[in-house]
Amino acid sequence: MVAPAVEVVSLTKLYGSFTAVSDLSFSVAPGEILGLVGPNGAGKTTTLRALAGIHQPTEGRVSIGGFDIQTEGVAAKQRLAFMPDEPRLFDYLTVEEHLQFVGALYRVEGFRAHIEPLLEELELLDKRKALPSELSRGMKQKLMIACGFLHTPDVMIFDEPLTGLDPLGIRRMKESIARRAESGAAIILSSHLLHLVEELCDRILVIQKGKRVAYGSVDDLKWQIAQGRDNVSLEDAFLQITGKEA
Amino acid sequence: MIRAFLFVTTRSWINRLVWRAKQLKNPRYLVSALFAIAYFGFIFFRPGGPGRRADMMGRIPEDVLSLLPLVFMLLAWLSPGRAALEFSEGEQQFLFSGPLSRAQILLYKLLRAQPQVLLTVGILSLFRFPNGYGVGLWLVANTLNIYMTFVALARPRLRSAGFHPLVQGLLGAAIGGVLTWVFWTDFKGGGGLDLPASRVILFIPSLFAKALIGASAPLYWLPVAAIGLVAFFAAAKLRVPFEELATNASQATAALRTKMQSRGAGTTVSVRRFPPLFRLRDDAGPELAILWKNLIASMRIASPWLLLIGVLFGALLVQSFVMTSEAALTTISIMAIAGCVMFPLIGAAIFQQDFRLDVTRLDLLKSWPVRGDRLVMGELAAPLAIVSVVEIGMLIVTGIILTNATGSKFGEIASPVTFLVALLFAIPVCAAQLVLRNAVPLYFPAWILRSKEDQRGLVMSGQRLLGLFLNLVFLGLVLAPAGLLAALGFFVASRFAVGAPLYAMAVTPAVALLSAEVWLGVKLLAAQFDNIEVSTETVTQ
Repeated sequence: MVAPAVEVVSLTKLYGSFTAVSDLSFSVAPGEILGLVGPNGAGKTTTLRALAGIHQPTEGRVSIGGFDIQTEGVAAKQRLAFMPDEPRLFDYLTVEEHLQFVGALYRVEGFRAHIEPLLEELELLDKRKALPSELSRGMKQKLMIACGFLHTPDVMIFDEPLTGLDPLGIRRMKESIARRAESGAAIILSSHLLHLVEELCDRILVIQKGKRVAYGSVDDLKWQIAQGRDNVSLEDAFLQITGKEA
Repeated sequence: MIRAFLFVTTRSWINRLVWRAKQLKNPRYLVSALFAIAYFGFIFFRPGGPGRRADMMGRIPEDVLSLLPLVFMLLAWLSPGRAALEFSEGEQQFLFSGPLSRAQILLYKLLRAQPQVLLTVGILSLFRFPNGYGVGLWLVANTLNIYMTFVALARPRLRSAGFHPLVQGLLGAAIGGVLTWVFWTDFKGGGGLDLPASRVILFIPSLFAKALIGASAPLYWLPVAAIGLVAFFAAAKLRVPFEELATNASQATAALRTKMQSRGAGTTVSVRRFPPLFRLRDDAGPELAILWKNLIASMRIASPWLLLIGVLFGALLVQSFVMTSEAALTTISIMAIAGCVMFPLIGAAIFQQDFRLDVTRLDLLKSWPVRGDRLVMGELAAPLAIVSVVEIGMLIVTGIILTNATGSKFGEIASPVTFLVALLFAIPVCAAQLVLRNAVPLYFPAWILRSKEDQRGLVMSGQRLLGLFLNLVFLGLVLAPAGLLAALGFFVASRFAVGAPLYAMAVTPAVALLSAEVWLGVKLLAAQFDNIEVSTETVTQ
């Protein structure tokens, strides 16, 4: 059996007396894409930030590639790429300099050779000398994702990766994500776009009020709520699971 | 409609006050607010302070008081006038698309300004014009406010009528020239501005002045209010695309404000294509990568300061060669020494491309595969390198200046011992100041990451004052032990005075102590970075 690339055991995160995430456990195998979905305020972003080592779990354990994110943070983060929903770029670095910086930060051997193909893949080649202020929202998002791809991480965490992308960009991004999974990366993808989740993800974790309310393959989730009905979509399943629809 | 406007205005202010009051539950807001209250209390209520001074307005001649509104009214035609048409995004959304006439929107704008106008009038009445009339001040402030709006709309109206802004500017300059000539001719004749021409020009502005002072002031309130009404209805009736002008002006004002704030925070890129200072190697590692990144940031954001400092010290250096008088050389020496002494403080404020710049991305920093102490060293390295190199350069230039100024009072301190000791201390002192400056974003990130609402006010003023005060106190505490040790070393060395090397050896323990303090500071910052909880407060700004 293949060891999971991501293992989350009883993750709990409190902000003061508010429980953002409660006793959450799941795992993601290499090559698997896990969709993390839930209503607004369900605790998705907190979960992703805990996985990325940004938030310290109040209780529980997160391991990335077998390394505990708290006690062996450097080794764990070396194998991880976290792509937040809002691209946080450096206003004073060009597109190419962002990638050079990330290459050195993650000690990517011969990183210069990887930059051009990556820029080509994400259609940023003609913007390589541009500062973030000269990029559109979608291009910034692509640059953020290019930075995440550069060190070919074992685990990739995407928070709403398609925000601001045009239809062609969305298609290319989906292909890029799928390609990384095929090459063995474990991917966690959080999105409100349920058709994207349905199309890309192998398994889905639905959380609500910080708790796991469903966990399984798309077909499993549909089957759970189908009760003999045909043509049940993931959207129907999601709304029923989260109690948003009677 | 007025009821709705009053509701929005009063609720907005009440909600803001309640929100600020609730903030005070948090000790960091409470402490800074108390500090600001104590500071401003001292400034205004200290013996001999402004609150105790005699009536200022009563001492201003009426002619001068009349000239002020005249100048204001004329300058309004030369300014872009965007502020006069500024509306918030919410106001644009709800007012411009709502079933409101322009007069109603202008009325709302006037009502919206009242809390601020009343506060200003109250403060001025209390501290500057205790014997003046608050009502007069309130009327004048509002009338000028309406007048500004009228001018901001009249200028595009004139433009659409064929008066190019350049023609408007030339016309304004011509009118200003004529007025200056009239007043100057009148003034030269003695007896103030009493020629008929001056009286005519100053007729309306003098109404403003008379509404402010003297026993007969209430008699002039009605005329001032009438001027305000005329301006209001003129602004309401002008044939201009009001919503479009106001939207453009609001966007331009917001963009300007953002630019000014980012410039103040040291985040504005001013030299966009400044090349990286060195090539980043594949095996550079995180610390070098962060240094590389921050050096690029420093050069693209703050390099004009380097040019300015270079020009200033270059000019002092040239003058020290050219000047011969003792007084001039003394002045030049004082300026150079003051520059060297102040630069560790000023330089650390100018070159803030470290945690202070990266604090908005704390979540990103936390996701990097690098230990806290290495990250802190990488962050501090760029500003430390720049500030230290500049400081050492300034010390060398100052040394040459002092050598040229041997005839002055400062010439005698231009000894090799002085420079050696100054050079030895330069880097650790700069490092100590940078460690202290970087402690603020790590220990009090919310003091750096201010929301739009937090950009002004008592709490923010208190935070700034307290930050400066604590910086100076802690810098003193950090430097004091090393200073004492250096004094002791000097005393011992002076007993065996055999030249600069011995003095340098004597102060080495003090330099080592200061360096150790800096190292301890780095370790404390690293521990804080590792433990800092990146909450929504620190990442959603």
